[in-house]
Amino acid sequence: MTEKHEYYPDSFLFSASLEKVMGTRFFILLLGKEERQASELWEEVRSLLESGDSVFNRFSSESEVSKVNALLKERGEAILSDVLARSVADCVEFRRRTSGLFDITKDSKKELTIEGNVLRAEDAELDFGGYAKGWALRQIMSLLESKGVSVAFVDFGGSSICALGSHPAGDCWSVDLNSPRTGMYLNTFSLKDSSLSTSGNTPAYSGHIVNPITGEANNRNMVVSVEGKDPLVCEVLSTAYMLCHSEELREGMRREFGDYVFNAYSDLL
Amino acid sequence: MEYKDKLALDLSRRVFLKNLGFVAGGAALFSSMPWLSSCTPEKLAQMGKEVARVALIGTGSRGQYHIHNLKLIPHAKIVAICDVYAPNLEAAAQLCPDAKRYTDYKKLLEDKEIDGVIISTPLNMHASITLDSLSAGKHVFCEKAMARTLDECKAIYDAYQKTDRALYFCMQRMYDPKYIKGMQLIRDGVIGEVVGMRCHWFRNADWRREVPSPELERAINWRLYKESSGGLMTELACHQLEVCNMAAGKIPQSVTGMGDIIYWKDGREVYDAVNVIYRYSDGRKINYESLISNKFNGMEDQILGHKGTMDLTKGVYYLEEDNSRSGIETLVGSVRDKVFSSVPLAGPSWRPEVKGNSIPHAIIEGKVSVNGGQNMIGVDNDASDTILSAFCTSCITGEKAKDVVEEAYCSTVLCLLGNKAMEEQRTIIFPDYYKIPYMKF
Repeated sequence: MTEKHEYYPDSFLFSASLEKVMGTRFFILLLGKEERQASELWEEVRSLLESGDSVFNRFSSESEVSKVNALLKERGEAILSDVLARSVADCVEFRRRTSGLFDITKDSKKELTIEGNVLRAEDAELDFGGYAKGWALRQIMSLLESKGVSVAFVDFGGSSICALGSHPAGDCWSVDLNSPRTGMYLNTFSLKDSSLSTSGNTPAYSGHIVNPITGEANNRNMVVSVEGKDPLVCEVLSTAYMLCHSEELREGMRREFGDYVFNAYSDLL
Repeated sequence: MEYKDKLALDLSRRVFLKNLGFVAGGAALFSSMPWLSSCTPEKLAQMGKEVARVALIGTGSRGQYHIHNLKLIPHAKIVAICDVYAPNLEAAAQLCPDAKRYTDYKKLLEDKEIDGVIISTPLNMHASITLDSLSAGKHVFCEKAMARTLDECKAIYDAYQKTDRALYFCMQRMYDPKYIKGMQLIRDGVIGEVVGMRCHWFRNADWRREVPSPELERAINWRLYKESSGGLMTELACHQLEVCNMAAGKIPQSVTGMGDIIYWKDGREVYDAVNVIYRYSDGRKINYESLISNKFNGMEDQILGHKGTMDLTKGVYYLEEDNSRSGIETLVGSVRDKVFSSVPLAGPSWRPEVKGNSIPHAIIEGKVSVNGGQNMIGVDNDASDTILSAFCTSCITGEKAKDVVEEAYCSTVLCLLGNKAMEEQRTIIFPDYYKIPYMKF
């Protein structure tokens, strides 16, 4: 992981970035803190990101999820850490609330039961791709608020953005969404104490979102954004909404998560 | 609709420009690539239902390739064919039986019914036939490279300054959508500052044609002998150097290189392996390599930028840095300057790209034709048909194609200087005598 950070004393502005964490890059702006306080906070944020990577990164054989997947393959059962156990329980609940469209097994036929820290799932492979960044952001935003940070901006790979307070010269943090295919402008989001998550296919990377009900990869030229309070819920819903294959499902999801704003863009141009 | 019919429609309507999505940005496109201005719907309207009456001089394999393409161009009619070698002439006559046959191109040039000629002869004949054709009042389309010698190139260039006839050389990359769009992306800064170029062309073939009688060896296998051929440089590198110069926006100041006959020791005179380095005045370089005894690496035209690599042959580019960083830098700046603005940060997840893990981005949408470089005659969809169609349009409108001759001149002269550097085993500085106003060093 390549880390960079800088403090601008004239603006009480601390900026930092981390390359190649959870498969993408992380960027944060903290405002209104002295350099020492901001640096200490950044160290805590980094620590959270690194611990998230060590739990959820299925491309690392040393991560907990990789070890759990190996155990599930061998025995159909594994004992999880508290973090992973709570996350699996979360995901089971999201699976129910999204009519099966959000599924860390990527297969709606797989049984997944969690009792305490014991996970039972025959022949299942867990993939927290649509969850992990949201999990990390939820922890980070909670940490920042607990440390009295009232103005901050976090960008996790462009697909997950959180904003606390407002830009010093505005009444929110304003973020544009452009088409990943054409660069064409699609929308502007005004974020204030809220989060935005975006899912979609890009020319270079498509077919990575698999419908757990049909088993088919989603190759549609489409971009979905979900805006709301909790970055983890936004993260989960942007993936699930991308997979809705009927208006009925979309309507059901909007009703179930009434506090969240869903935007879908056909990206055919 | 059959593929051939669709192609014919494309060639007549120039929809390839629309397919590039350039309709709205046409002005900028034509400003940077003025030769494409002859491919507009306005030019089509100007053409009406007129047909270009064209003749082919040289009807070997490449000439016959052009015949196949011409038959798909609605505004082209083949009225005559010419070749000194009877089997080639006969083969062409089978393809266009109504065309008049000639064995002497000078006789063909006397035919007033011919608007333009298409020259596909050995390289050492390009200059004399091109100059004679222009003198005879014909529009001319000639195969690349421009000519066998530097002085012949200069003579053609000088003649072109004085004529009102259209002159094209088959620099098809100038009309290839992936190269056109790729150049636009380079100019838009997608790969950052251009810092170098790497081009290569590898084949595993001896380049020989079957010879029915020994006295025809030098005529049929003309590519293998220095009198008639510049070898790998004029036959292959010519296209690639042109692309490099377009990306660099200038012409190299010097060249050095090494050429050898490594594998095909069959009496040929031209190198079967070349490594040439062209150096621009600002230190950037073209690393060029061609070898015809190993095809593993195929053909690639790579433009290297400090933010990414444009692989024009394959129609893709790679980014090596976080391309959303500029948005983040904008955000930091806006906070420090206390200027509120929206930043383009949101989108599907960014993924890092490093060697071995690079993600190709398509230069253009839709199906991209990739030429692996192994075919020695010509391939479908490499834009040879498009530039030929543009030539036929010029035969009708009388309009010269901007920059095509200049680009052909620059790249051919560079090829010939590359050969000179290899033969004399020294660094050659671009000679003042062969500089033209079009060149920027």
